[in-house]
Amino acid sequence: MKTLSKGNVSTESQSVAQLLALLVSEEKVVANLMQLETDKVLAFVGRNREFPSQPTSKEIIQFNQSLIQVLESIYMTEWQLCKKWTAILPLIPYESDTSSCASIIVADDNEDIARFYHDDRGFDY
Amino acid sequence: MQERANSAVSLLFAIFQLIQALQHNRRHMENREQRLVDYDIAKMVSIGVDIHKCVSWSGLVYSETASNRRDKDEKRSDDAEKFLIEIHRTIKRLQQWPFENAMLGAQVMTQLYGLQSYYSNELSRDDEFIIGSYTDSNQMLDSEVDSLTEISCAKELTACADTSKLERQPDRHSLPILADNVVMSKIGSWTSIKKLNQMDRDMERGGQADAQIRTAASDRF
Repeated sequence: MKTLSKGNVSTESQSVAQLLALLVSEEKVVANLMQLETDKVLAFVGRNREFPSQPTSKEIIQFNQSLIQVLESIYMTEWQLCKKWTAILPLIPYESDTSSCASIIVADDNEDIARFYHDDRGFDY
Repeated sequence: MQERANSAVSLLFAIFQLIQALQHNRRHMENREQRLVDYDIAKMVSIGVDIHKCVSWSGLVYSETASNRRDKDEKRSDDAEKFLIEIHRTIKRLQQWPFENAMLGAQVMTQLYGLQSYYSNELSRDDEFIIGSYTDSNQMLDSEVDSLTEISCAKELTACADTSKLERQPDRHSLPILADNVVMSKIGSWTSIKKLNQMDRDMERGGQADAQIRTAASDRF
């Protein structure tokens, strides 16, 4: 059985860290998209839910269908992200030196992931 | 991660607002348009809930590895409470929605009950979420949707949530659907409601069985 040297472990940690950073950035993009869509719907509906732009029934239906299309796209992206999170979980090093991962992440100015890696030491299966 | 969960909740909230607005406009539409609106609503709720499900699963994986989860949960409980109230309103609204296709209505309600159950469970883990303490009467009075019914429901709930009172009412087979929803948020989950109803039925069955045994014994001796 092939054993990993210290150098290999470090490379693996760096790769996992990069994957995590990518995942988080993807999550942020989807979150922004969801927020934009929310703002769009709320603007269309109006504060008192009276449709301020006074659309016709046809326009309302068109709006609904365009919203469904966006929702479907968001759902598919989220589903893929969920799969990636699940796939990456076993790769996260346990009881190994994670400082290299953290340093890459901090360099990327990604606080979430940096915290993720620092907290990982206490993870208990 | 929290930002993403908030976005998913905001999106669902916006969909609920759209449903409320469509409720008024639907009356002025033709039959064909009404059917399209019904279908669109079902689809929006369904996909919105699915997105929420994906987000919560990813969040679960993340929280499995992050030890600061507890702090985040504490921050989230207030929002969860507000969102749960919004889910109640939407459920109530859609219960009265004249879906031509009953299966479509059933599908939407199933999804919403699942979401409601999720947030009820979230809140049931919160120590501050005590039976009878969450209902904000002022907020209910402000709501446009049958505020009086909701308040009477909340009062009924306070009575129903007390198991001992429920036991004292043997003729009460099950709680009304609307009260079920409010009770559910108070107690925590469907399981609790089922337990309460089951307990009520068991008491009644037990009483009937006792009466039968007594009659049989008196006939024999």
